[in-house]
Parts: sequence; structure tokens; C-alpha cells
Amino acid sequence: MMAVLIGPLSFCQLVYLSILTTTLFSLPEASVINPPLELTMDSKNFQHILSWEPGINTTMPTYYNVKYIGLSGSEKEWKMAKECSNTTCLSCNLTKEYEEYTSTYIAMVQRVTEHGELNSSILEFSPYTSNLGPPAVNLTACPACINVTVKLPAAYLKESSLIAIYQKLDYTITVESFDRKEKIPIKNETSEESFSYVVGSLRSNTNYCVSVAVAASLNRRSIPSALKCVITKSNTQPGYGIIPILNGGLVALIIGIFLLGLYKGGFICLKSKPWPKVLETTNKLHCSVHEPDPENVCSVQVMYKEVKKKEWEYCYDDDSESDSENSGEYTRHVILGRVPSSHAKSNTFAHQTIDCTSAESSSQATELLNSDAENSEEHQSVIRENEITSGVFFHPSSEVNSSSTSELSNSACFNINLNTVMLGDPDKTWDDSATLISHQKDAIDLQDSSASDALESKFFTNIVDVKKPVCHNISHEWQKPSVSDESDASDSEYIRR
Amino acid sequence: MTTRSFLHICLVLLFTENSSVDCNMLHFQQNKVNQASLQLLEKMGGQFPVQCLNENSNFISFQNVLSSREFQKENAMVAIQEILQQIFNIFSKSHIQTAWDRSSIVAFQNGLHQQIELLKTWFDGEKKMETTYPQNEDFTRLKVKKYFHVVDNFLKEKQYSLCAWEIIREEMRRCFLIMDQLTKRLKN
Repeated sequence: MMAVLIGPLSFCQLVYLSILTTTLFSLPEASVINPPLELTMDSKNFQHILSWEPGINTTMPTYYNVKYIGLSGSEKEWKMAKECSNTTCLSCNLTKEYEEYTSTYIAMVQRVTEHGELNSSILEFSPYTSNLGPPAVNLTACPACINVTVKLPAAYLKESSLIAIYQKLDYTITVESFDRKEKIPIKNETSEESFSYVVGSLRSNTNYCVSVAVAASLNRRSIPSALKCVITKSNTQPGYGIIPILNGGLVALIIGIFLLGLYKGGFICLKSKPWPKVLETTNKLHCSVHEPDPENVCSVQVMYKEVKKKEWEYCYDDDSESDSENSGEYTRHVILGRVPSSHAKSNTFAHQTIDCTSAESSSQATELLNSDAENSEEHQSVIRENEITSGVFFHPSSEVNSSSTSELSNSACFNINLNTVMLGDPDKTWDDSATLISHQKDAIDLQDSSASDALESKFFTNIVDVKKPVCHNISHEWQKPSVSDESDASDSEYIRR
Repeated sequence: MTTRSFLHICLVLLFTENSSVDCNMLHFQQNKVNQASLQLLEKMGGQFPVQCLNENSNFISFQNVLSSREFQKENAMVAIQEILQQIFNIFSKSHIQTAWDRSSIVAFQNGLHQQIELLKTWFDGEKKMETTYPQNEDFTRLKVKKYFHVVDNFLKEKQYSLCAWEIIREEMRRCFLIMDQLTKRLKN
């Protein structure tokens, strides 16, 4: 009875055990034959490559089918990748299949073996999130800077580029010093396929390495470019030294031209202008007042002779005047020496003997005046200035002693007794005649120029009419025979009554 | 901490109440919103469910709606504002998929709302300056509304199933990519 119960139980267990073992054994085979496929997508610039790992058991021939589906399409069905059907390759290029870059695609790899088909897991991928880059970078060294030229990689889309898809790309330039001590990130954005950027404020003669990465605002996946190194140029170049020198020279030239313009315009005067000729006389007048030149003295002997007073006319002035009063008679002036500015007037007419030491020299001569109008016709001699005339002709009607006249006619000089000569202002009385005569004596004796100067100053202090300064230059002018009108007027003033 | 949050609130208010919105700031904010929204859309759900691959969605692709020839610079901002508003409306539905990450959905909604308000302020400023074209604006808005009406109908037909939502989620993702392309092209 016990054996009967044990029998059925053992039979069930045996059956159960056998089923268990077979399943256990079969399972490893299944896993070995059909391992799950791991898919990976490697996308670069819209070039999508799907790859997978093969199964463990590689002895059996296996083929792969790649299928994909797009989520954006209205028709959702698995499509076969044409280039990757029944392929033994472990990768598939899905660039052409993933043509809609905003859409999302799901890929699946089917493994075909003798045992059957096995589908792998799915891979969801959007081409929009493709890795961007690396860009092509060219470096150019410049003084303390680097010129980075970047060219974006081409997109594997039909008639499209990265800029056409993303419109704007952000790029990051990383500048590193060779010893990795400095790291300078520069961020900017571009909307061009090719662009350049100058990295400045770098040290000169230093090795720098540059790397550029591009990314979009909604797609931050990027592959940076490989490090490229360049040495920056030196700052100290001969050309840079010349420029400040040239600038300084240019500034100096501009200042010089400006100053020249001012000088030409009359704003700057380098030398003083000469004193105008018109004002020269003023100077000389000034000179004459303070420093009168000495006059040459000519000794004169004057003898007094009484003569009737007659009206005589001063014939010196004009020929017409003389004609009117003294008809047919000429009077020539005897100018024995320089006459002082004032003309004294004597009321007596007198002979005069003049001893002139030198005829040519400008000797001082006293003035001979025929003050008396009554005797004016007889002796008329006027000594004026420095001229010496040859002779004087007297009026024949004069009552002067003929001897004197003969003397006078023969000789060129007159004999004048200065003691009798009266000098003074015609309007005044002759009270001072004595003093004048005594002074005149002194004047004759003295031949010193200085003494005469003193006398002169004494005599003619009252005289206001100082017309002719003593200075040499002007006295020469008055040696001319033509006498100025002023002197004529003054003479007539004193002589006439 | 309170002072910092107060400062943040002040800054936000300053930006939102500012009637004269700078165009550059607008574009900058738009870029930020696009980036964030895209990331959140991917985050809120997982991979596309394989069982939904057999689901057919017969509605016009969004790209056809936004053909850049029809949009001028002024209308582009109008279109973007309308699109954001419609997406916000869809993702604010009560029937939204519960399987998705809730925090991501909320963050997504907040980002959209902020950008919509900013665009409204800018648009009001532009209206004052009379630089918009009212006729084209209405036409643009109508086109966008028409598209999203189809999307809404699709969801209703599919009874807000998971596969329907997943298809819509994928479509919204494409929306953002196309919007980004449009705004960058018109900015130049």
C-alpha cells in the first residue's frame, strides 16, 4: 500500500522536474542566441549613424534590418532603411532617412538569424539635437593678440546649412596659455558661416592655444575644435618707435606754421620799427634846446658914423620892394657869418669893418642892421647866416661919407662900429642900448664858441622867436642863397619902422 | 531672505508693469522661455510609448501653419503671443495626463504665462505708437486659432488618452523649435 502512494508522487515530481530542467536549459540558449541589442546614435552635423553591438554567438550568420518611424508624420508605420536591410554591418547611416530635422524619430534594429527575428529596443532621436561642430579654426598671430578665423562645418542636410537651420549660433573661444595657467573664455554669437574674431590683451611673445565651440540656443550639444597653438608677436617693433617721433615733428611743424601766420599778420613784432623821418625834427629840436652847438665867431670891427636918418627900405626882401623905394638900385646882401636867430635893430647906421678870419668858414658875424629908417638908404647891409657875398652896393643918394662907400665898394667887408650899433626889440625903447653895446664889445672880442654861446643866451633870452636851432645839420641848409620866408619876415620886422 | 524676495518681486513688477518694453529684452526673454519650455516638455513625460506608434494623427503639421512668407515682423510677435496663449490653454486643461510630472507641468505653465503677459504689454505699447497692422493681425490670430482648434478636437476625439497627449506633447515641442527659428530669422 505504501509503495502505491509513493509511486504516483514520484511520477509527478519526475515530470515536474523534467519540465523544469528543460526550461532551464532552454532559457540560456535563448538568451545566448538572442541577446538584446543596444543601440547608440552618433550624430554629427546632421549626419546620423546608428550602431549596435553584436550578439555573443557570432558563429551563426546574422543579418540586421534597421527600421525607423517619424512621429511627426501622419502615417505612423515602420519604414525600412534601404541601405541597411539585411546588412551584416553593425552600423547604419540614417542621414537621408531623418530628413525632417524638427521631428523625432524612433529607430529599431531587427536581427535575423536562423532561429528567427529579434527586435531590439527602440531609440528615440531628434535630428535637431545633433552635435554641432567641430568648426575649422585658423590662427594668425599679431602683436599681443590673435586673429581667430572660424568656419562652420557643413550640414549633411540637403541644400541646407547650420545657419539656415538655427539662424544664430553662439560660439565660445577658449584661449589658454601653453602652461595652462591662463584660461580666457570669449562668448559671442554669429549668423554667418565664416567669421573672425581678434583676441586682444594678450602677452607678446607667448604661446597660446585656442579652441572654438559652436552651439545653438535650443541645442547645446557641441564638439569643440582641437587645440591650435600660436605664438603672439612682439610689441616692440621699429615701426612703432618712428610713429611718436613723426607725431612730435608734425606738431612742431604745425606750431611753427601758426607762429609764422601770426608774424605775417602783424601780431608778433620781432624788431622795433625805425623812427619815422617826420619825427626826426622833433628829436633834433629837442636836441637843440638842451645842447646848442657852438657858433663860429668872426671878428668884426664896427665903426660908428652918424648918418642922417632916412627912411630906407629894406631891399633885401624882394626886388619889387627895392624897385618901389629905391629905384634902380640894388642892394646885395653881405652875409658875413651866421646870424643869430634874433635880429637886433639899431637906430643908427654905421660903418662897419669886419675882419673875417676865414671867408669860407662859418664864422659868426654880427648882424648889421639899418634900423634908422632915415638912413636906410645909405648903408644897407645885412649879415645873415653864413654866407659871404662879394660886395654890397649902396645907394648913391646916401649921405654917408663917400669914403666909407668907396671903401665899402672896393672891399667885400663892411666896417661896423659895434659900439654904436643898437640891438634890441624894435617895440621897446633904447634904454638898454648901453648895455647892449658893452655886451657887443664883449661879443667881438670873444672868439670862443662857448663864450659866444653864453652871450647868445644872454642876448636873446627875451626873444621868443627861436626859429633856427643851432644844430649843424640844419645850419647847412641855411647856407643856401634862397632864404626862407620866415627869416625874411623876421628881418623886416626888426628893420622896418 | 525676505528682503531678497521683496527685491525679486519688485524687479518682476518693474518688468511686467513697464509699458515700454525693449525689443531686445523681448527677444532675450523669448529665447529663455523657448529653452525652458522645451526642457520641461521633455521632462514631464518619458520616452514615447511604443504602443502609441500605431496611433494615427491626421492633422496638419504645425510647420505648414507658420510659413514665414505670410508673417511680417510685427505679425510674428502677434503669432507667437497667440501660440503661447493656446499652448497654455491646452496644458491648463483638467484632463491633462496625470502620468506626467506635475512640477514640470506647473513650471511650464508659469513660464508661458510670464511671456504672454510680457508680449501683451509690448503689444499695447506698439498699439499706442500705431506701428501694427490691424487687418493682418486679425488674420494671423485666426490662423493660429484654427490650428489649435484642430488640436483640441483631436484630444477630445481620443478622449484625452495617453497616446493622444503624447502626440500633442511631441507636436508642441516642434512648435517651440519652429517659433525659435521664426523669431531669430525676423530679428535680423
